[in-house]
Amino acid sequence: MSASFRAVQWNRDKIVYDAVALLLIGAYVFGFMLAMRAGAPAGKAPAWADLRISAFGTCAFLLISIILSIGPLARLSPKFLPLLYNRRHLGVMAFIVAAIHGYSVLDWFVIRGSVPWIWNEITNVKDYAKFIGFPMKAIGLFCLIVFFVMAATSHDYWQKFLSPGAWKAIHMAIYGAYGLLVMHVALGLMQRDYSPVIPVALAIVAGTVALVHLLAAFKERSGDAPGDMTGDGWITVGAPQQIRDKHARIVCAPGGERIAVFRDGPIFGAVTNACAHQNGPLGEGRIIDGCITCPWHGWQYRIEDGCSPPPFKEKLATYRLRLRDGAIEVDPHPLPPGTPAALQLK
Amino acid sequence: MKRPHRAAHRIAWIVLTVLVAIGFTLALVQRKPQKKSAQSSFLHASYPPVTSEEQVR
Repeated sequence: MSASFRAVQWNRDKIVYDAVALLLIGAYVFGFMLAMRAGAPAGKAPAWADLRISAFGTCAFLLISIILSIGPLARLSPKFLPLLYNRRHLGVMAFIVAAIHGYSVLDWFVIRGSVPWIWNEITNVKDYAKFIGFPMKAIGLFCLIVFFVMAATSHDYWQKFLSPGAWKAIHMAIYGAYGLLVMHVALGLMQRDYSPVIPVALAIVAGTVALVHLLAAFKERSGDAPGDMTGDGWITVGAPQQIRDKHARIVCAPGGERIAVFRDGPIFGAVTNACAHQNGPLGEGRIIDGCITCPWHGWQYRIEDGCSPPPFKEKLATYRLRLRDGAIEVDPHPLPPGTPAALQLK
Repeated sequence: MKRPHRAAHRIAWIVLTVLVAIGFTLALVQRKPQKKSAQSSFLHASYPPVTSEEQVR
């Protein structure tokens, strides 16, 4: 094995994050069930078993929508960064809520002794050729399997074992699963319940998720423009005082990779903009306790050489810097990870 | 994110948004007033709604 397993490192922030998330999930599920019972016409109150399916189903859909929105929202505004910090735990909770929804559906059929109906629905090949009438339970089951894979591989062990790039690529399956989840609702609940509430709510929630992603992608695209090149192939970053102390300026190398040039008082250091943990945007972080700190999960690296402080062993590629004609310039060719390359100005 | 992921991410969301918008619109326009399927009619006719007492099994 190329990676060793370490149990989740708990701290106060993670405990508070999880406690608040669990409380909100519990309040939503019970609030939903009680509100639906109370709002039903006299004598037509839905059964608790039906309500449980709806409550956990809508809760899972909302949770996954929120989880998918946190990333782009954090790119659009740093105010959302605290939500990103422990997003993986929220993802595992979303899988558990979705699994309870699936179990509740199964239980509904078990109570009626009609489990074969589910099997018939999923295995009726003819229905897969239909649009309206497509086996929506099969879509839901497929989404649940994808969510399980996401949750099961969410631990840092899998990320190290698979490498951050491969791990990220696998976890991008959540996008496709979300699209299928929308269709699971559109071909299921939306067809059974003719009220306008379902399509309107579905369009608002899914539309918002898509909108924030497209807005963040549009904003990101502007950062892909190559920086101003000098005659000898270096990139002009700007005057030293233009880089805010304890912060960075991000420039784009000709190949499209981004470089974060940090300033810590008189010391300037350039590292790759991609964190070794999850490729988080280091340049949007800041210097804390003398270390470059990733805005996503707080991983730290020394400005001098891009190495994580002991006992951690992560290393970032660094870049050579120089001061010429009153401007900081960076060589776009990366040095081997961990190579000292900081520039100290007097 | 590194460049390939940024590009894949951008394209994935544009494609996903278009596909889901088409699927959702089709599902919306083909929606018909509530008509229970044979399975649904059978199950609901054969078995009364489950009460909270029945669930305590």
